[in-house]
Amino acid sequence: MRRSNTNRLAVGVVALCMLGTSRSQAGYEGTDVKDGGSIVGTVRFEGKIPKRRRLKVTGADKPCHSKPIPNDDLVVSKDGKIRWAVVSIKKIKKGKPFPPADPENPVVLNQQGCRFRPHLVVVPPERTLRILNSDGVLHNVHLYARKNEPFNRSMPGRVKQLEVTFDRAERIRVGCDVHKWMGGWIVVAKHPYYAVTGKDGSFRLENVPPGTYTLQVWHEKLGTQQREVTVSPGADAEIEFVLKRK
Amino acid sequence: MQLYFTKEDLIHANEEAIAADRNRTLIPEKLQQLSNKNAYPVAKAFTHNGVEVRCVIVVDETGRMAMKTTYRLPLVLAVLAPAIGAISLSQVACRTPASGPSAMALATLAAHEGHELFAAHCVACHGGHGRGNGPAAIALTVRPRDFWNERCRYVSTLNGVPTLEDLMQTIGSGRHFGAMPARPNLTDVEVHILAEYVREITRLGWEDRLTKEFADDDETTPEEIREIAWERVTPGELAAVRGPGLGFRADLEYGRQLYLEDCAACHGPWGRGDGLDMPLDERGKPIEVRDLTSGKFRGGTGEEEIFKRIKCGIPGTPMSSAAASDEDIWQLVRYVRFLAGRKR
Repeated sequence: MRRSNTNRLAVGVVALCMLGTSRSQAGYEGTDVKDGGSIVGTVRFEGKIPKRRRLKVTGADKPCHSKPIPNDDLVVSKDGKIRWAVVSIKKIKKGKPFPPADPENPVVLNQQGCRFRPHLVVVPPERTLRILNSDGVLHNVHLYARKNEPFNRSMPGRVKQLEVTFDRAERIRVGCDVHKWMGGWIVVAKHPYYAVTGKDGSFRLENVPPGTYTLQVWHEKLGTQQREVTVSPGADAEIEFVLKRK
Repeated sequence: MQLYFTKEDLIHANEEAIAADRNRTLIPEKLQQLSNKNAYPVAKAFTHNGVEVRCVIVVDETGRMAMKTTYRLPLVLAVLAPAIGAISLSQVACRTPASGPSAMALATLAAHEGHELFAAHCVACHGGHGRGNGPAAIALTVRPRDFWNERCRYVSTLNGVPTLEDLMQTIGSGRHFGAMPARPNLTDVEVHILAEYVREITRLGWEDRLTKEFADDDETTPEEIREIAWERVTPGELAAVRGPGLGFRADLEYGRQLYLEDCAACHGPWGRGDGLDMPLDERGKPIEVRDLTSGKFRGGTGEEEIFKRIKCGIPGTPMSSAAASDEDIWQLVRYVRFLAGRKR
């Protein structure tokens, strides 16, 4: 991964020669989907429902003390529904294209109140991710990338935004060394069939070509789980994932 | 192949470490042991397949030091040992722990031109596979770099990958305030070969680690991992070090303002390195925030070097690359030098 305005020509050319196609979207083809179906479902937590802790905030930076900061890494509603789980189809080769890029409104990850808002973003490869600093204090955007280039850039208060792009699909942890409690995730999607569960633990994948797929759910604390699902034309395939502590 | 290094190498390496930190009494004790005895403390001990393995440093009759492996077997195992190959396993265990590099990676390294040079000059601290676990590592206050798992720190590229020159500078000129000595006895070509070797270890390290990490992910191919590993050792665009330019004037007030905004959160309001509690590196190990008033910068004390550290950051540590313009970075460089100024 590199900043959007830096030279990516050399690597790009090499990749093109080697693969004959852009490496990030290698293996996925976007086409018109006829008679697509949907996958809908929820992700549920099994076991004693964890309480949402308040994180210990240190340091003198004022914006960090304006509001209590809850932990976002395991958010479970009272009725046991898990937020911030990522559901995706595995090994899908063909389907709907990514929505067209909108340079005015890219995916945004904001550092606000010394917290990443939202906690988790999904971004297509080679698309801009805009990282904002609404706090007016120094943060450092530390991306623990493995497949993409590791990245650590300071964002002093006067720097309000930063744009990054990613080449490869992976899940990247984001942290800030100045405020150690800050944690977030950037999920670089391989294809458009990625969904993040909401407060009610629900997700919806639309316009899926009919067929049988392996559906995967991933949660940062609870790991991954896979289930088979069959999509029929024009119908909703329902599925429920049940995750528990490892 | 037996990996040897001379006692002088080790002692020289330790002297630098002592110079860096005289308060640690551990090192002189270790040195005393090293120079007086023939058998040295256990460098590493662990149990492998029920066999207790100890790695001991010894000096042979020619005065060269080597790592020797001893092992103790439980009675039951002793009978079965030849059959299950436990002994042969434990004999190589000091160099190839169970969780270590793959055989393929080791073979690649052994075939590399720099292998002999590395064995002669680097293994005392960096260990046989450059994993930062050489026999001298236990005695060093500044941990030797683990090329296998860590990123090189002192770089001049924007993507955080050291250039050949960066590596050659570290190897040839050493790093201050740690044990990494200068190597005036090596020719430039030898330093070059070593730099290539270190880069090769780094690449294999990435390959190994990613292979393990994505073992369960059936969508990640070995080809992709190999490609990524190559990218991780391919230096990107260089940080433009052009000097501050004509008409540049260090402005103390402006420099201070920038410092407070960009640096003070970690380095502290007056540069004493007291801004963060318990800073950790990318592997979760404790590290120090540099006390800028000490004037001891491991990456070098020259203005250009300080510029590179600010511009490129220090990979693997919380030190992030700067968002400031080059002009502003020059102001910061001057301010950092001001903080490290002479005592009055």
